[in-house]
Amino acid sequence: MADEGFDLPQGTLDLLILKVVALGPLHGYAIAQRMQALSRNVVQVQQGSLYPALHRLENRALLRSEWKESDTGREAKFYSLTARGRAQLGAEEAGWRRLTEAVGAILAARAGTP
Amino acid sequence: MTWLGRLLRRGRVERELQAELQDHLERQVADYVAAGMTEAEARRRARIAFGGLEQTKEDCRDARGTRLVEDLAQDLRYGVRLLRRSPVFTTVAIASLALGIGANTAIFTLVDSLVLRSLPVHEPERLVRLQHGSWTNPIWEEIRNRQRQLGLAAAASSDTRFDLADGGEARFAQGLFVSGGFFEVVGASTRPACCARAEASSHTRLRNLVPSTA
Repeated sequence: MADEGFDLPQGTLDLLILKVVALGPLHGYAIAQRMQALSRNVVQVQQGSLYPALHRLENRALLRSEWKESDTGREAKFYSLTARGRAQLGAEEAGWRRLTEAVGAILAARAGTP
Repeated sequence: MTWLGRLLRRGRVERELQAELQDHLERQVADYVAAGMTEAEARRRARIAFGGLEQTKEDCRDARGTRLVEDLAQDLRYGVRLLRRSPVFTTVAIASLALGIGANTAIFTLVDSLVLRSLPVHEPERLVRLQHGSWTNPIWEEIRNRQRQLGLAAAASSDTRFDLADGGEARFAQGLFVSGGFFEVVGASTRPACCARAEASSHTRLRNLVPSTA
C-alpha cells in the first residue's frame, strides 16, 4: 500500500473521475474507493482534490449530480456522466493512450535503436 | 443545477456541500469501524485522512464558478455596512460626487451645443460670423464685392421685433433684416418665393418678411 501517496500527473484526476463515473453513478466516497481498488491501491486520491475536481467537472457540465438514497439510508450526492462528459472522456482517453505509448517507446529505447 | 441556480440558491448549495463532505466522513468512519477500530479511533483517523475540511470547502466553492459574483456581492454588502456606520462621511462623499457629476454634465451640455454640434446649415465649417464692429454699408459692400475671394456673403441685422398684425392688437415676432443671398449662404432648403426678388435686388436694405422655422 503506497501510504506516502502517489502524485497523479496534472489533469489525470479529471480523466480518472470521468472513467470511473462512466461505469455507473457513484457518490464521492465510492469514486475514491473505486479508484483505489481499480489501481490496486496505487491511486489514493485525497478528498481535498477529489471534491473540488467533482464540482469543477459539474460546473463544466461534464458531470451531473443527483441526491439519492444510498445504502446507508442517508441521501448521498451521486454523480453521473453527461453526453458532453462522455465525449470528453473519449477524447482524453485517446490522448492519454497516445501519450503513454510515446513515453513508453522512449523509455524502451536501448543503445543502438534508431 | 445551472450556474445561475447555484448562484441564487447559495444557502442550499452550501448545505449540500456540507452534507456531501459529511457523508464522505461518515462512510470513512463506518469502514474503519468495520475494519475493527473503535468508534472514537475511527472518527479520529477519518478526520486525519480527510485533511482540512474548510480548505476543501473553499476549493469546492472556487470550482463552482460563481465565486466572482459571490465575492462581489459580499464586498458590496461590506461597503454598504461601512458607509452606514459613518453617515457624515457618506453624505459628504455622495454630495461631492453628485456635485462633480452635475457640474460635468452641465458643462458638457454647454460645450456640446456651442462647439461640438455644428449649425444646421450647408457646409457649417466654412461659415464665418463677423460681429462686434462698425459694419457700415460701404464696408458691407466691400465684403460683398469680394465674394470671389471670400465666398458667398450675407448680411443680417441683429435681432429685431416685427409687428405681424394687420391692425388692432400687435403680434410680435423675432426676426432679422438680411441681405440677398442669405438663404443661399446658410443653405436653407426651403427657399421662400419672395427671395427671388430679394436676390435680384442684391441690395442691403430689404423689407421682405420671410417666416422662418428656426
